[in-house]
Amino acid sequence: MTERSGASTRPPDVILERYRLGELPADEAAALDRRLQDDDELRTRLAALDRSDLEVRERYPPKTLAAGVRMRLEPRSAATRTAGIGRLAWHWKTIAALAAAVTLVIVVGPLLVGPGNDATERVKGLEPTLVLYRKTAKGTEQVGDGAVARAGDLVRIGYRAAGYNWGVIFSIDGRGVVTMHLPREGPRSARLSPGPEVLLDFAYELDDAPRWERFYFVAGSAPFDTGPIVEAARRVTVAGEAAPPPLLPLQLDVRQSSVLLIKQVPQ
Amino acid sequence: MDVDALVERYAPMVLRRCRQLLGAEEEAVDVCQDVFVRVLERRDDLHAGHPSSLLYIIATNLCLNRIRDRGRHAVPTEDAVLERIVAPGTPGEPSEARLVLDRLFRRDPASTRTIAVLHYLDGLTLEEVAREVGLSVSGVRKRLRKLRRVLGEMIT
Repeated sequence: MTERSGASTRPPDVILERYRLGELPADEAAALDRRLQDDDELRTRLAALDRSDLEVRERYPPKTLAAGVRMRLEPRSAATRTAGIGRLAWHWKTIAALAAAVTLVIVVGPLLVGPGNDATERVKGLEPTLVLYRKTAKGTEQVGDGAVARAGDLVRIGYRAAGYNWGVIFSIDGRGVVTMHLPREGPRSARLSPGPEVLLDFAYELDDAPRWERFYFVAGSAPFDTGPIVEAARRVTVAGEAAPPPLLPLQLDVRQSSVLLIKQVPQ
Repeated sequence: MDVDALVERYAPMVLRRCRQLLGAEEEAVDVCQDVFVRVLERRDDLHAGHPSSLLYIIATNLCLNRIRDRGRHAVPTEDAVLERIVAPGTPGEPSEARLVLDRLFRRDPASTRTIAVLHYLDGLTLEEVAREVGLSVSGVRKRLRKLRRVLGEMIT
């Protein structure tokens, strides 16, 4: 056996991790067992790992973390997966300006070629998509499925209609509380603006609801009632438990996109 | 494979690894989830009952990719750099060693990066590194030798 790099003979962290998981070869595990009998430093390290396990599971409940993993595994068409934290950082004003400019072009376009109607042609290959941005000290960043968030974070909500004309955006948090974002009130879906990406004109501040908050965007080609959709979200949500699924069980001809935020428990 | 069971059992280990290499908590949680996605996408490679190695290696790889993408720059000095890389464990040293490795990694394939971190930063023996990454000991030694040569060129 070659020596460890440096002068230390202390077992590396990965060896301790595998020992604790019972996945170290038997002879190495036995050697560690023997060493533990009179090695205080080793026992201290193992105790620290025990405490760390508790901290991680408390701060990031496994069911919530697993929900984020499952979302990333699902095809993009089923539920949006956007870039992770820190992968994109744009300024709010830049995003808004770009969105406004593109929206203007798209709105003006149909007027030039003739009257529009509700059966706007679908944007081939695109699905209605929900996008979230978070304000940071340096500007903004796009937040993706399973991103960690905390109370007080300012979130800007946007959507890509992909040719669908009507929609609703709402979120449901770890307490089972529903917040309507589009429309802010009323029983019917809102008229969607065309364009590659449209930002709602307000920022949403996350409160201290625990565990998670999932945002849903449901889009259709015809107006629909929002009540059954919100009710469907409530039905599949159990307060204090795992986050609701990315797709709601709906009996409507609509498309869905959702983003899950994992709420970080304050230290 | 049961995603919930895998995350429940291994998330603390994976997140600790990501925290150790990345530092930033949110980035660590983000990469931690990506680790499980990668492993689940490669579930055929999982050894029955012993996924910790694969999870640890993939966590290391993804963190190194993330560090590389950050575009960090470090200006190492010769002997001090080597001293710091080969003597991990002293307060303040890991991050400096990490910076040096960041620079090296821009010129080295991922497998060599992982080997370097496991050996120089984590302190695994050559045999342990070989077992973790599935190479022969001589293969590991060869790669480290090459890495040290590159290190020498970079800092002269």
